[in-house]
Amino acid sequence: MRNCLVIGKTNVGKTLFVINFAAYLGIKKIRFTLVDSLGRQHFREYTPELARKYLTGGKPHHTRCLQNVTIKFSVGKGQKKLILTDSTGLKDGIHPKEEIRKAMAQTLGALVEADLIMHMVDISQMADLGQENFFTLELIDRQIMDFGRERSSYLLLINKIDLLQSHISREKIKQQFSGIPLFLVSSVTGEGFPEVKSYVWNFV
Amino acid sequence: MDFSKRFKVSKAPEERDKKVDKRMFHGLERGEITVTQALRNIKDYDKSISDINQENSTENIALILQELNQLIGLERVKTLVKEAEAYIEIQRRRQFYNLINEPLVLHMIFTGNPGTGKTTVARILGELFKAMKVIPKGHLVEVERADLVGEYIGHTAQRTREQIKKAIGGILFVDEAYSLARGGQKDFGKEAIDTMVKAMEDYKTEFVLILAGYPREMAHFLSVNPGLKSRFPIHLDFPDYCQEELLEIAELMLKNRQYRMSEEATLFLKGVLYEKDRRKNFSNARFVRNLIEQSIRRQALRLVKKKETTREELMLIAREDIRLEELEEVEEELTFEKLFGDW
Repeated sequence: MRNCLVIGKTNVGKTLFVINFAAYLGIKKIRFTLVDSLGRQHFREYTPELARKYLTGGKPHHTRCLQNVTIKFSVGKGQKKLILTDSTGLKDGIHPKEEIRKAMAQTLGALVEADLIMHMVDISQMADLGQENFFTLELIDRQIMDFGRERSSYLLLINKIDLLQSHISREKIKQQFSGIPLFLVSSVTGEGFPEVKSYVWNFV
Repeated sequence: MDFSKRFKVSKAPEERDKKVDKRMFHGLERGEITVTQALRNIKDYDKSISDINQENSTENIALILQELNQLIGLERVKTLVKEAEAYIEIQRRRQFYNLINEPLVLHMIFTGNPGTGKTTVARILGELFKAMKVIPKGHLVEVERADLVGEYIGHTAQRTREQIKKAIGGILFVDEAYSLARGGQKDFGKEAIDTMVKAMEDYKTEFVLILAGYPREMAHFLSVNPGLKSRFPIHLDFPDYCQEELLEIAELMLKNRQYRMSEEATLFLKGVLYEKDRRKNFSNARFVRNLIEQSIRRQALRLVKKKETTREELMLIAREDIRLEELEEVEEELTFEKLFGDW
């Protein structure tokens, strides 16, 4: 049983990725295990459509606790389990609400415990055309990346690739982050999911 | 806040490895530190742990390699260990990029005359593999025919499996392995071989099987079981030591015990070894060890009569301390016993 954590800044599309990825893997009813900051567990079951409606939104900090989805899949004759964990988005600075601060602390706790770190960033917020390196990562993203690369299992998911304007070539992105396992995905359209799937399968 | 110092607590490294210290996040929860600061703290903490673990293992490997390098001769073994070390390191790097990394199969056959260092090398390899994290425990289980072969039909498989279970996570060292193939069709030794072959496949990566024996007998043993040879990727031949090497061994043994030989004694020992070299039933380094141990006892006997002894005297092994006759008798007796034991 491996624990994959989807982590990233607020509003990069972590929850939608988890829901759509689970749906892509053929799960009709997604059973979420919600773990709050005191460690209590709650179970919720949604169809992908309802999950999208209730769990995602345009405002930051929609997710306020860890949401685990257990995915079972068969390998040869046996079965393997994968836990996909959706986490609260991280935002730099000191957040005024205690609830969110606690949730972020919980996310960091999960980061240390995770077997596979899936670091999600938003391409539309990264593009900086004035500079030579097209894409700049914020400090918090760089920190997550450094931390993850010291652990052996880390992958970078560049989300919202469907928003990418055509003149920025995808090759450039790959060039800039060469040496890092990297996937261009779109949580909305499902682009890049097969590649992520095969990587995660290999990992488990 | 420097967490690397604050959290160096006395838990075992394995335990510490995954458990998070929740205290680390209290500052964040209370709104005292920012997320980036918290992340920095985690990194420091993580680094301090990995530093401790890594330092230990690299230090260990260096120590063990030093022990191996101290052994005289055995060039082939030393190169093999270097190969294995490089291979393991590369596999680790490949793992970082999620490339396919094959599990290491390190079953070995050691052939060599008595006293050429087979058991010593096996023991060092066990510790080395443990330090390199190839096998978790690295202990050596030494067995011979009597430990494996049972008394009635079916008993052998049971006993062999027991020994293998003991060796999981370490090394199973079968001394004089050829004796398992002796005794013809009805002998139970064959059953032990079959059980071992099966276990080698089942627990491919969980233990290392080493079959050891004298060259001529082992060659026969391997020719009897055609599938056996190919299952052992590593064959190591331990050549007989030459005169100079044996002399070096003797000097090293004495040095480790804080003794040294006089020049006369060195010359005499050289002569003895030269003569011995041509004889049969010569047990190489073991012969030297017995000789040295005996001469140390003789030196003690010589000195105990004196009332006062200097530091120099206590360290010196003189020509008259090294004597051969008794040793030879003992050795002959042993070989005689061995001959009968085999029947």
